[in-house]
Amino acid sequence: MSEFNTIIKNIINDASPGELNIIVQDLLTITGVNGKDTILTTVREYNMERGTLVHLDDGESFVISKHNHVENDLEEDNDKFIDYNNGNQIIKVDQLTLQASRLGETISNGIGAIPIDTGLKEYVSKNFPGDHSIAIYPLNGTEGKFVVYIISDKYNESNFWNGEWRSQYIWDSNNNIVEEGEINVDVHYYEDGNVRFQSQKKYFNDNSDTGSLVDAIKSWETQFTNDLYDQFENLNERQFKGLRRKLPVTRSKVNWGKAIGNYRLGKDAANR
Amino acid sequence: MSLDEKYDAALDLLRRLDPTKVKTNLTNLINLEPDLAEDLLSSVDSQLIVKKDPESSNKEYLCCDYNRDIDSYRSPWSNNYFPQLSEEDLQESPFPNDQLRPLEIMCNDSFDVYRDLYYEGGISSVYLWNMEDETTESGDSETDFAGVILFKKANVGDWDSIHVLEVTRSGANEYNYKVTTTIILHLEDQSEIKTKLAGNLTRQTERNFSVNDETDNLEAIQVAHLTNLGTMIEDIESQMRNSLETVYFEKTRDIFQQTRNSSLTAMEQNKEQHEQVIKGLQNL
Repeated sequence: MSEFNTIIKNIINDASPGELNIIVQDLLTITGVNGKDTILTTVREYNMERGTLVHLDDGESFVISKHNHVENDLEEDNDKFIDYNNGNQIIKVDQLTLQASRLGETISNGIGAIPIDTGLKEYVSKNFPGDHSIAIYPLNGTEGKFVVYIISDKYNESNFWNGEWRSQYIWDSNNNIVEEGEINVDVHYYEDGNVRFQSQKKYFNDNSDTGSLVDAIKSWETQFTNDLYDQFENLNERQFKGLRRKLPVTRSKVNWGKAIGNYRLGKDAANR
Repeated sequence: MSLDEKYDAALDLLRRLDPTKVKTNLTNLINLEPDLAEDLLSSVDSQLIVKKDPESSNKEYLCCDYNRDIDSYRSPWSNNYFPQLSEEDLQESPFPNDQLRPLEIMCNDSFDVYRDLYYEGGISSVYLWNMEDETTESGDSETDFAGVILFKKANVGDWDSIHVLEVTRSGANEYNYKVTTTIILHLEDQSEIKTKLAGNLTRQTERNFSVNDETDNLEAIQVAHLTNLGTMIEDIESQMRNSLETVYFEKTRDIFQQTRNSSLTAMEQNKEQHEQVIKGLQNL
């Protein structure tokens, strides 16, 4: 990979949630049209690798990933994805705006619909107030294994913040085991600055515990959320508060001017 | 695209990329457009570098673009550049003039006391420079000056304060103080889950203070400047500390809860536990 491609990839991978389109416009301003092809290819790979929420014309949400991508050698036909839960319909996506539309075609050799059980649907709609979607896609080349995505976004560009939850699981439906999971939280606040809050954890089912998909997801996600709140507390109490005091050690504001050296005399005297 | 448009795009990008990777992102952007190098390096704040002054018992001092010349940084303690510059290069290197250097020394002493009182550790450095007649608003380079006041504390988290200031005579016995403050705060916890809470906030403050500069006593004028700057920096840092606490610990959590309604999970768990208890009681 050339240095140019590596730089573009690093920048795209670093994008704050919901801001990819603006980041691409900024990049195009800097690189000029010559960079366009590399940038668009990188964006497509990025969206597919992580699993990304897109919006259909009717307002419905849909997840695109490498696991439901319809591969095509033609660059202009490379943005089609299979909607496994709706009769294998083909959905075409704009990788930059993340707007999508149904093409009215279906793919005949696709794998049949995988029903998302109502318990999982209910859990997701109760716990994810953002624009959200669940997706269950066949894991390439493995019979009976699926990738499960839960994505919930909330974007508020006019108030300078964006947030995103993404969790992803490997589910072995034959043996009823959720083998592994990964949860990512990404929050960006950028009014008068740039503040980013990111949390991440990978889970592995070491004991090969069997059980329903929704129970496994619920237990990891509850654990994750509890840990996240504990860490928040820790970052505030143990880290932030140890950096700069609210008031000086003397408990009153500094007496500026020529006599400020007296603080040192006082300290030296106290240490004596 | 003009260089100005590219510069704006680069600044916008830096605001949208991971704030813990400012230095890498700067290098990457300069690689994409080398003509942006000078403007970006002089306007984008990143975490302060710590160096030791070999001529002041290796006392640590803070470095950024404001005390840099070529690849060396001026120490506020010995007033020399390290690594040492050649005689020839030094001819061109910026130093505060003989009137301003005493104020720089005074500021370093006083903000060192302030640092001790608020940070209980860390490092501080103050750099001042004279302004050219054409760059100062009053057109009087005798009275006006600019500078930067720096604090750094690296504990389990990292705090870097950068206050860039401009002091201009705005009337008889009156001075205008403009301060642009950036605080870079990085917190991280890798225990149960990997969490990074990091970034920076910037704020501009402007105030007028009276300074009796009709006296011949230069020291009295300088003490007045120091008192005004000290009062201002103390206020700004206190307000910024509150803003940081609000943004880092309330705002980001609120946004997180817009994507995942965690309180509901806790309530659900409670409800489930209650139901279990009730069931248990009914079975008695």
